[in-house]
Amino acid sequence: MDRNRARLLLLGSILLLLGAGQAGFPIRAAQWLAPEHRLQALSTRPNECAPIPSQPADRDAFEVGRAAFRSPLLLGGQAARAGLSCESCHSNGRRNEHFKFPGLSGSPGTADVTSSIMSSHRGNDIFDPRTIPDLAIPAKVSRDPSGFALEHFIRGLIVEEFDGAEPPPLVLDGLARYVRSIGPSCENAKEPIRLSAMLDDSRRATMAAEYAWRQKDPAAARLLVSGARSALGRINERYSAEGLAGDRKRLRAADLGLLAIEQAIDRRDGDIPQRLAGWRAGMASWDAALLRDERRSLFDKGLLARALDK
Amino acid sequence: MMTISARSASLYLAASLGLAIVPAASTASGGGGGESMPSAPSQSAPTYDAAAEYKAGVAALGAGHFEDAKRNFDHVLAVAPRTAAANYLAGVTREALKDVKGALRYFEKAVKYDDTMIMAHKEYALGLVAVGKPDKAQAELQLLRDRSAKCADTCPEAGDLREAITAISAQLGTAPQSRIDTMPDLLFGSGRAGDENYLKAVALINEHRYEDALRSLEQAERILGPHPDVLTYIGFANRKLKRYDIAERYYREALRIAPHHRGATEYYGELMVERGDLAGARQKLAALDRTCAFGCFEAEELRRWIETGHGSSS
Repeated sequence: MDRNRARLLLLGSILLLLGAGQAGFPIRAAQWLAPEHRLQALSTRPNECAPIPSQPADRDAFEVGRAAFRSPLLLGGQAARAGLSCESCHSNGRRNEHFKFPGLSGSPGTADVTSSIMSSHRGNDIFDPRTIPDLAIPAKVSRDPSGFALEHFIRGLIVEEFDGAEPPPLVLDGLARYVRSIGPSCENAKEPIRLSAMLDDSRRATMAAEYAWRQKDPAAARLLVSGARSALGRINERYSAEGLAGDRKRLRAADLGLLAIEQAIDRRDGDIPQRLAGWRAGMASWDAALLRDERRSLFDKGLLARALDK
Repeated sequence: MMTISARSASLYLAASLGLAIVPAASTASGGGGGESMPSAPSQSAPTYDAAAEYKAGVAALGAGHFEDAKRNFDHVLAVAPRTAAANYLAGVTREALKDVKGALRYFEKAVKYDDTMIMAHKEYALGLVAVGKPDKAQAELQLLRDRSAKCADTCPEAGDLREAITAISAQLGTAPQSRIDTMPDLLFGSGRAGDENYLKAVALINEHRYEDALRSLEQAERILGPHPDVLTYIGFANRKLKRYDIAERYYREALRIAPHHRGATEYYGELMVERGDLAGARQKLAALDRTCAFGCFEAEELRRWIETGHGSSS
């Protein structure tokens, strides 16, 4: 190969690389979905299949785990910076068969959990992606609550696999309870991804935060409020159209309300439960507009398909 | 000859997601986390996209549009004047435009800012011969010979050193103004593509191998240009090596290119904590709280640093 040709090929390579990272699509999760799966993965998901416990104490712990499961800030390091949560791989607590994180996945639905990219503890220098498990199907880790094997396993995932901070005890307990509740008698049905469910995620996360605060665990409360904020962010991504600026303003105002509560938690203000309840009461002042505009947002499958085609 | 596989491109994208893996993609953003429209590699929109301009310059240079390339690299250097790769390519562009003295100035800066860039040393020396300064060229040649002897054919840049020494030696044996090689190489070292180097650096940082990570990041910067994600991680690795002044310089450079870059803001704030400047760190945290709509890990991590003096995985 002559030198000039080599230079041109090199230039082409550089341009390919420089172009590879461009992404104008507003939904962040698309970045870790196989391109040909994006429409399906962003419009439907497996049924949650995690019955809410009937006993109030169990229910509260379950809700803590459910909200933490969906919060990117539970994990640390590169995962948290990329916006990944447990739910990114385990869609609605099940399996995200469309997950394809560049550099970490082989075929869709796989991930290399021993990569130094994500972990300063578990890197093994081998690209060995494995199938992401469906949490509705019990695997080798015992779910027997008396042995705490599941708690130990989850802690290892957070702290070692993803370089996260030590989870507050309430959160670790909640995550284990949530995971134990998933399956086993699940149907393999799918549900559409709707605004109402995401609004509910945000609302439920604030209720879990209130419980955590009452349990005198401000770290857990803060994490859960951040989970509520992340849920609003996921909604906001879908209201990116030019004519939906008003909805984005409403969401940002709601987000700032939660930021103020986070700061109040940091100060250990005494009125956190009242603030959280007030925030939830205030949802009525803005969620109706969003629900009205849902058909103009990327919750609409047709608009989503067109946006993905651009 | 380097080839780029689909996996390489994928790795590059992974880098985009993080660099945070974070650091790297063509839009300057930052260290993961989104402002209002999350996208790769990080989400804060820059006021000026130096990496995109660099990319345009490389494209123009490859297409033979030298005036356009000159304009692109001049713009890049206006915001990131210490970027060795951009100085080098500005020199290549001047050379293509027959501005030998102009080219020489940029090659000189390239070696000043990155003494390990063998191609820049080579072009600098060849330019010195062309303008009738063989003594200075001889000094460059000796520098490369010393380095080659030290490397003893075992270092990654051994091939580049051999090629440079041969070209300069040959040029010194000819009359001034008659360049043997009229088209400088655009291949920065014999290393790997920017994406691979970037992602490799992220993994090396996670393994606490900061000197190795810096070498990979320097390679990435040569290909990707002054991308704020790459600059941020160069700063980060230097900080971990306790080279606080260098770290600060890179953080500031990343923030000059992308003022709302989350990773650079966070890491700069952490550096302030390490230096005992809690007031400065709190200012950085306030900036993140303002720009991180819907929350972001970078703000939480800096908050943790301010409260405890270390991060989540420390």
